[in-house]
Amino acid sequence: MADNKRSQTKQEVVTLNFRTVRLSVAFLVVAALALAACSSDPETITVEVPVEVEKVVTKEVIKEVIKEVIKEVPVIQTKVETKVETVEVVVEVEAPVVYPERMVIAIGALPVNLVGNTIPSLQSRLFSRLMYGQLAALNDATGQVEPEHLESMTLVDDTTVEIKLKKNIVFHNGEKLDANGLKKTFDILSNLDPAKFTWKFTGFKDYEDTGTVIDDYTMRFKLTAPIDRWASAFTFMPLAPAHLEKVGLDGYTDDPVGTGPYQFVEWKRDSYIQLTRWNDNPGPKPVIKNVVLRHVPEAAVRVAGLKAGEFQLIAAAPPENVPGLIKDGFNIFVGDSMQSMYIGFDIYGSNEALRDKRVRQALLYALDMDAMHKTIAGGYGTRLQCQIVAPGGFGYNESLVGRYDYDPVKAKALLKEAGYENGLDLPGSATTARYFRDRSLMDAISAQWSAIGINVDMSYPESAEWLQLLINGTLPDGFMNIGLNWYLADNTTSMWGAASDPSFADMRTAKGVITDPVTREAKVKEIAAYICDEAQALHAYTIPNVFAYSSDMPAISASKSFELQIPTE
Amino acid sequence: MIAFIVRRLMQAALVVFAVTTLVFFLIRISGDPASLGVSLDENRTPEEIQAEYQQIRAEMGLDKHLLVQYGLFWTRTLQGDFGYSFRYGIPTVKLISERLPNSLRLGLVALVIGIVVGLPLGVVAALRRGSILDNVATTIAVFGIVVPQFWLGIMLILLFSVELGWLPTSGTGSWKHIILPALTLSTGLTATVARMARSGMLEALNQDYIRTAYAKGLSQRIVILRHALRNSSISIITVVISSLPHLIGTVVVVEVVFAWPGVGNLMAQAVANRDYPVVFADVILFGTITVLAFLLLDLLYSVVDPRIRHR
Repeated sequence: MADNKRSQTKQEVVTLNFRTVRLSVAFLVVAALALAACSSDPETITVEVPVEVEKVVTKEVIKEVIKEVIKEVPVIQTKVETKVETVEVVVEVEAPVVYPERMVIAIGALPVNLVGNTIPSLQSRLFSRLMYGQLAALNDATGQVEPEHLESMTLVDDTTVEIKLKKNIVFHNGEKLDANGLKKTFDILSNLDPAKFTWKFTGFKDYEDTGTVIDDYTMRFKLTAPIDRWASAFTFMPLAPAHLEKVGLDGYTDDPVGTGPYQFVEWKRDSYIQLTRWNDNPGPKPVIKNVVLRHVPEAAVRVAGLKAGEFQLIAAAPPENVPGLIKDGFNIFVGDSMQSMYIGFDIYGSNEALRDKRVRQALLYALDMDAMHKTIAGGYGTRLQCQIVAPGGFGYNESLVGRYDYDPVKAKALLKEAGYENGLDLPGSATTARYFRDRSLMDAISAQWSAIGINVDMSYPESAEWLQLLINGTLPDGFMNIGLNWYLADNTTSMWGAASDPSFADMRTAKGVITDPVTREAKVKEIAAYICDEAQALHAYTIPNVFAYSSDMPAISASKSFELQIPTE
Repeated sequence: MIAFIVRRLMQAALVVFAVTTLVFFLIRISGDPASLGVSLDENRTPEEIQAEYQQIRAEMGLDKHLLVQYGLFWTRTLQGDFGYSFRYGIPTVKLISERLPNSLRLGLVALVIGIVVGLPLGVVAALRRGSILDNVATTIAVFGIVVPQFWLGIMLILLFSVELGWLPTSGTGSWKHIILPALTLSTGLTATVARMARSGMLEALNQDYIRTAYAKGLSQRIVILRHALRNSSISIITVVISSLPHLIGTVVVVEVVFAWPGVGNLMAQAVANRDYPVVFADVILFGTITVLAFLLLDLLYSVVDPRIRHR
């Protein structure tokens, strides 16, 4: 459709009469341009402008006037033609982009309730961040938790935190955010009925309590001990306290109220969630007016729905569909997530071979991880470099790049040196369909290991069973597991496989009390180097965050936490 | 007759009880839901994680002895209390009552399609035995039986939604939304009905009473509809009703493919998340529907064939 085209040009003809020249008529021209911009087809508008001559008017002066007048709309070209008593100015401007009013987003799973802070999955953040603001949020670029609804967030001393709220934060229902209300919601959420909310709000697990109100906009909190991740508690989505008291948590899920750019309209459990732009939002407003989140568990059906025009955006688009979708004219956003696929080795388990560093190094050298990244993840996401953090992440250690590049000859030599010249048998365990293509990755890894004589007897229990075995420490011989790590700002280095390593445990404890980001980042790098040197784990790649969307939509992106970023007006 | 119904209802209750008991114990083998709720924050020690796991188990009542859990389950269930869904945190009965109408609607439409398409297909195939029409009908029937519903659903979406743009890909909302899932769900039933109708008709058409009917000068339409079809209807009814368990099984797949918010979809999610209360409630529901359907089948026999009497 013509009105959906991203860029158009329009021609405006402005005729200036020289009998009177007054530059203050600017608004007339702007109004004309605005009218023209509302139309989908190029057209010509003539505005008779009385102007009083106060200086010599040249073409350049007129161009400047026009430029000043229509600064709201990008000027492509200006032509000036002088007539006997008038100057005709032809201005080409870029018309404002008009987007569809509604965007239907197909996602694999909808949240099971709509109360902020109780929605468990990271993927549900796609919904929650459209509706809820946060006191503070993780900045992808810095890896730090930074204030959003907070004016400031300060560590007063090793165990005391003070937060100050911004004074203009309003909820969708008109309530204002203040310290007393915030405290009330902290308390309510900290005492959730476990029968109704399986996922607990554990935001203040490192704190003595839910804080003390100092004044209308200030609160203080006491940590039980110095801890690096103290700021994580404030990645909290404020709930409207009066509304919450009135309707209770059960009622809140049917009528949620937040401070985000969209407000709630309607919800049908496991079917759809409908949101509309919050027009009283004091912040920037998204260009799409209505957003509908649709539950479509099958990826193939999401792709089909996008092609059929039923959805405008699909989350978690399968990497293998991306080239075809691009060919069909769809836009693709490929980003990183904060989730990294890794395989942890149980270095202090019952398996003797794995206690030998040379065997573990051989396991790493034997894998062509670049090829696996390309084939299994479609080359999307970021290939990890012997550490859990991707380049640009907090604590990324550049010195580890290329440490275990594919070298099967070296792998065999290391095995020989360790006394396993004829190969060895190892048990392994991984999930199926719990993480991004987990079984495919593990199968590929096993196949490449078998090429150097390491035969892995893999088991693939159901996710719930695998987790139970993991928690109970009863995975087969405790050899290895596949998993993922959310490398949040303060959680970058720890590994399941390395958890039983005393040296690692000491370093982790030391890091855990460093509150200064610079010092902590140095420590994180040091720990990453240790894990890499000891070959304690295999780091594969970050899980890609792939969206596909129709070409009439604005350029949509997402954060590493799966938060959808819709451009604002 | 009443004694027969009461006896069959008691048998039905026993079957539902046995199936639920089996599921109650079998589902425990594959991990419990508490493990899915534990935060695997890797800054925590294995002891801390283990402690949280045990706490969640206690909150879910999973720390009690299995037989105690079993006893509590039946005590509550017999009082109509199916508990709260572990995943949704709302009463299981509410969750199922939200979904059941959708599944019944889908199942009913699929059933109608299965009969309306399958029956004439089988009858025509029998009447034109050996013809191209018979071969086509047989091919359709075989295809309907062997084709995986998951694949068929995707293919129908690609054809009718993506290529032709006639029907929506998934979800609910208008009458158009039910067509593709119902069509997919009905394929197995259509095929089975067609096959049974064909063989039943062929058998009936060779009977003496059919020849007698023709000899009496009755039209083919009357002979087919009043004599042949009626006499082969017992096998068709048997097939339709005994297809219900298969239909219930298939509805899980179809509802997931078409994002149809029914009990099948709910069941799939409940199993994946080890949402025991929902799984048990679903099993009891599906079991009850199945055994009641077979009871209905027994009763229908005597209606269709007055020679059959239940004692």
